[in-house]
Amino acid sequence: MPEALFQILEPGETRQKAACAPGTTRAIGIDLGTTNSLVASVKNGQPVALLDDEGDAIVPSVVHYASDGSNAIVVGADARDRLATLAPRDTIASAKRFMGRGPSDAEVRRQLTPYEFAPAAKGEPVVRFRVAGGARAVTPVEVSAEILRVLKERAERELGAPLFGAVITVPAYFDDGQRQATRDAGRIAGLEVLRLLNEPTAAALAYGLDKGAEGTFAVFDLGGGTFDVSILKLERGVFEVKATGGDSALGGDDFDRAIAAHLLTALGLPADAGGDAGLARRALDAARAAKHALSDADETTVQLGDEIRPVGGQTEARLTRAQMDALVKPVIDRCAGPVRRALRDAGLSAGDLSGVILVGGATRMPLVRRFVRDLFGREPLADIDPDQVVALGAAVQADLLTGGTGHGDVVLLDVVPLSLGLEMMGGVAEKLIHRNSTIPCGATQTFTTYADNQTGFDLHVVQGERELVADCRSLARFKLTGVPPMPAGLARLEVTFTVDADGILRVSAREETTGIAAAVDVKPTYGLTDDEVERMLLDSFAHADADVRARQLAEQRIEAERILAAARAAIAATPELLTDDDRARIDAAVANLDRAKAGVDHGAIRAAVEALDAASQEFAARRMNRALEEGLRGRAVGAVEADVEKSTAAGGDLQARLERAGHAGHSHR
Amino acid sequence: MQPPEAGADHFRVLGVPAKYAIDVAATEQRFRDASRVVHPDKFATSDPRARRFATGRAVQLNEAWRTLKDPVKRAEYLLSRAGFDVGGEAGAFRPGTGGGAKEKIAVPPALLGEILDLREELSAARAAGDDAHVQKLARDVRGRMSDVMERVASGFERAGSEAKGSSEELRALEIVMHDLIEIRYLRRFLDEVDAHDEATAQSGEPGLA
Repeated sequence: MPEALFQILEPGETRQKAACAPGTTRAIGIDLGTTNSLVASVKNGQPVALLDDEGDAIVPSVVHYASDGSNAIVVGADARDRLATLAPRDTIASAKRFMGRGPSDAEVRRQLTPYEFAPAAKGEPVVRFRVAGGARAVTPVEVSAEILRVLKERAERELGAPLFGAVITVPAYFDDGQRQATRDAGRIAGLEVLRLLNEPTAAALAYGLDKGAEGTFAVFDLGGGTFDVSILKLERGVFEVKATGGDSALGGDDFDRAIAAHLLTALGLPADAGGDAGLARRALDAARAAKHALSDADETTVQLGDEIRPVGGQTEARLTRAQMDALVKPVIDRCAGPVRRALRDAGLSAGDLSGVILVGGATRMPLVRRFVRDLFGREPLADIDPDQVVALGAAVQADLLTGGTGHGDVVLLDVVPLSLGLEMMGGVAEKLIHRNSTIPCGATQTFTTYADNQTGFDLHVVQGERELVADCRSLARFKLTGVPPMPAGLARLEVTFTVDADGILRVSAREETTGIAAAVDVKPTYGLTDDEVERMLLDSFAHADADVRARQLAEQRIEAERILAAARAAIAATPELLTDDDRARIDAAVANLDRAKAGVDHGAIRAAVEALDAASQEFAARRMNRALEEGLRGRAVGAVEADVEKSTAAGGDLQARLERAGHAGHSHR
Repeated sequence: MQPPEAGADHFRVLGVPAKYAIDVAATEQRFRDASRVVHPDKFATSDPRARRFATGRAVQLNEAWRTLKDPVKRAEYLLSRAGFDVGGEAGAFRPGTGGGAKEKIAVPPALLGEILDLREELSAARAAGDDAHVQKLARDVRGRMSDVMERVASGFERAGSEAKGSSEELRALEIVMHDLIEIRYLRRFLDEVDAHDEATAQSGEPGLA
């Protein structure tokens, strides 16, 4: 989609949006939560959650796979409220906690779980749930894709298809594997994933724009399965994450598990439900219900249902808030360490903050609010619904990314949550990129051989803060082969890490002395390969009833309209950058695209879009370079002014420069 | 359109004079303003070429600001620009006079002994659970660090007043290099204090004050 090349920010220039009311977009923001998921979009300049026919914004993140051979899949409240109890093994809740994790992960081996995991084949990197009466084995990525598909269909019904794209939120503390898994789920659901956005950053964006918050804030985000804390500086449209911390396996689910184990014990049953999936599901549901009841009441009665016949014959237990608080306190206390570290990494103390923002359903609990208040020494903010704020922020970001201009000049500067490095001799991790580095970022380091005539390198990429590789998270193994035999220490291997704006890492390696382009083989340790994602995507198309061809045509036509509008706007805005040659070539390509757009061959439209892109390449490059140079030079008016203040000897020349800089800066606002 | 080159000069990227005493607030403002222009979010729907270009610029910008905002990293960067090898585990090196091999800068034995004593005192205090003593040591070391950083600042000022490339300038920078070696040891000491703080905080009551 090349139109942004043209589209560089001329004052008053706005992107035309096909078939949408002004201030309304077909780009969506999705909060793919552990417990609940939501989709939102910007309408009339305001982010709003999209509702279902019953007026509910929330889709419970629960997916049921029917065991009757019908291949039916049920997502949402029905799966949670009815099917989870009837068919606990075929009904997956909290799939997010398994994203990007391997079969030997602690999360998978946990007690008190209703799921059955498919036995891992040797070297099999991905967890699979056994569902549909044992007939299918699905990955957490596929389960998440089912939830995303429901949200996508809701958005298409409301906004019209095709969508421009989606921003999907992830916990800030998600590692690389978990991010890749989330992006794969989006692709399998047929979404164009514009960006993965960190949940606390999304919340800050919603607060910053809606409440006009300025200053340094902590976002305390305790969801169903994950805990994040981010320290952000909000200033004149720049949302800069100073530091982030968290625990990607800590949330309301852990409260439920602690309460459920207590209830089972109180009823004379084994605390891990003795491997009975139905009992485990009932106990977890009862725990969740009790937790919600005790947010208001001081005492509640818990029913496990008459089907349960425990030894003592009891099916009912009482739980007081004090009892519950004692059960969940140890879990909540685990939030303190990440908060301290994030503050220290940001170089701040709690007193430096302008406010603390609460995000996530678990922050509704009185005990959690009290904990946050005591920890930060101030009353936290919860003005925006903690269940919706992340999706609303994601919708704003989606609008911004697709050219929405109603929010002012906004930019998000996020960070890498965990350091990235390589395994060295002796099993030590060498960090190339340190945690809390602003993304995108990169690092290059040179390594050498330790043995004579070594013809290859095994590279092991790891993520984490610990010294030893064994204590870090394994991300990928690379093999670089084809290095000619040399004495030890002579070969020079240059390894480059790049983290993009989604927080996803790419690694490349090159042997310097020979200059040979050795092949790099990527094997994600716990992820799906591209082939697997492709296959799942094709499967989903086979099942979808939408006409793929019609969709492709509609998408290409929108694309064509966008680039045509952008080209016309660019020519009108900067005719001085256009040579006569350019003009002739671009005009011809525009005419060609206009013709193709009227036809029904999406391939022809695509080709004409590419031809226009090629014809306008030099013009676009000139526009881009000028915009970047002016931006870098001209926007720093503050710095020049400071120099003027300091230097009383400021002459006319500096004055003239200041004016030019001021002018250039203004034209980019 | 080529992706911007890696390893561009950090001062040039941010458009500030290449010296130690930069106006940090103004530099931060430049970083933020430039980020508004080159951040990949501004090119999310552009073609891959434009995205690569913008990402390359943003990477340069982030790396430049990360280096220049931290006084120690900024000092180390200035020295490496002047030909010093600030180095990692192998230690620090000064530029050779004939442009040939670099000479190693020795760590003064007195400093090593001092640091060793400090760390012993720290582990004794930690073992005894004497948090007050740990905090006093940390305060002392932090105070000492800011003294050394003041020396670093005036060292750069002195070097700046000498002729470019003169042996006087080199000597002034060498003194700064020694100060930075000391800083590195002091930082490592404070890392240990942080580890201690984290460990005690986990067992203690919540509250950040």
